[in-house]
Amino acid sequence: MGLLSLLQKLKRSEKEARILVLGLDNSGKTSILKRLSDEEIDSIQPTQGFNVKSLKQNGIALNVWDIGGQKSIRPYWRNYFEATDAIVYVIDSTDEQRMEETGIELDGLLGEQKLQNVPLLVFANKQDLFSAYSSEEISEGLNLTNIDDRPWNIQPCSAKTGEGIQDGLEWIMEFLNDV
Amino acid sequence: MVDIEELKVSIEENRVDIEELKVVSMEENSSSPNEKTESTLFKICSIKMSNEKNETLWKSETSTLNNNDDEVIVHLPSSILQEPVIVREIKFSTGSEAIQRLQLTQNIRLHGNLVEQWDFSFGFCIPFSTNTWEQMIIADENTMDSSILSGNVTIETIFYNDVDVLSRSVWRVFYT
Repeated sequence: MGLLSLLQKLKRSEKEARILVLGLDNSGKTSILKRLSDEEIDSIQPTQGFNVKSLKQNGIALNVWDIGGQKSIRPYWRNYFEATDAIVYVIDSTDEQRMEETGIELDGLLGEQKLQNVPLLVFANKQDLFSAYSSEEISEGLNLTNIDDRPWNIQPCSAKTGEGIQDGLEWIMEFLNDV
Repeated sequence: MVDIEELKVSIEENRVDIEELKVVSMEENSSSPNEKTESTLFKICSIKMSNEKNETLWKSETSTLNNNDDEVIVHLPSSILQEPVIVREIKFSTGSEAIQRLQLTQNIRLHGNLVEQWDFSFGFCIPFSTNTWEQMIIADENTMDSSILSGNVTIETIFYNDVDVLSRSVWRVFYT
């Protein structure tokens, strides 16, 4: 598991690949990325800006942008759309109250011209918790099956246990190679 | 009754004051007002280096950051040169104004000669934000010996907003 092994799956080299990680506050965006590099996730504070992870090997570069999800920050998301190769959208699968809100935010992203046709991976996070909705339930509830203008996938995962994270990002890598 | 002559003198004096004020304010503005306000607001919070196992190898002291003039001496453990992968994290914060085009350039010099240059373009930064950039550096196969490098390497780190310098620091690196 790790970013380095993901980078090694990336075959193209003509430019840097940019992955944008978005989702509501407390959905687990930062935790997922930290888990990916086996970092501690116990003391993560809400992201008040962005966290970028970059790596480069043999001339191939990957930049992963995790942007804060608080309501006051969301209007700034659009500043980070340019040149995005893949969107990772993180959902707190236990947050029943804000399921509609996260659906509205996601719809907004899918309607953005700068993100047209950009592959989408939805992480149904916090699957380690009993109250979590399954990825099928979320997919149905948010009408993800209606998405027909881009490759998309929903991946159940848990930043806490690490389950599903590598699988989801490997799916993304496949599409980066096709660009 | 107001003495007209006195009033004239007083007006003249005030005019001089105003002229002086203008000169002062023009001088202040001559060094790009944007650069001035932004540079006081942009701040490097910390720099950390770890290995692939997330063990911290080095962490900055606040005194080594945000000094814009003097060269600062930094002692790094020589074991850093043996690590196959180094993860370097820079945390920085912005003030009340958004930064439109944040760029970072790092110049690595050995005996004053540029041996490596790293650039990264962040673009937009949210007002009052704290941001991190984590860079995974995969070491070259033939890393030079610490005794050759120690004291002879400088790292210049410059953050720009477009062409305006927000922060510049120069470290002279000793490996201990």
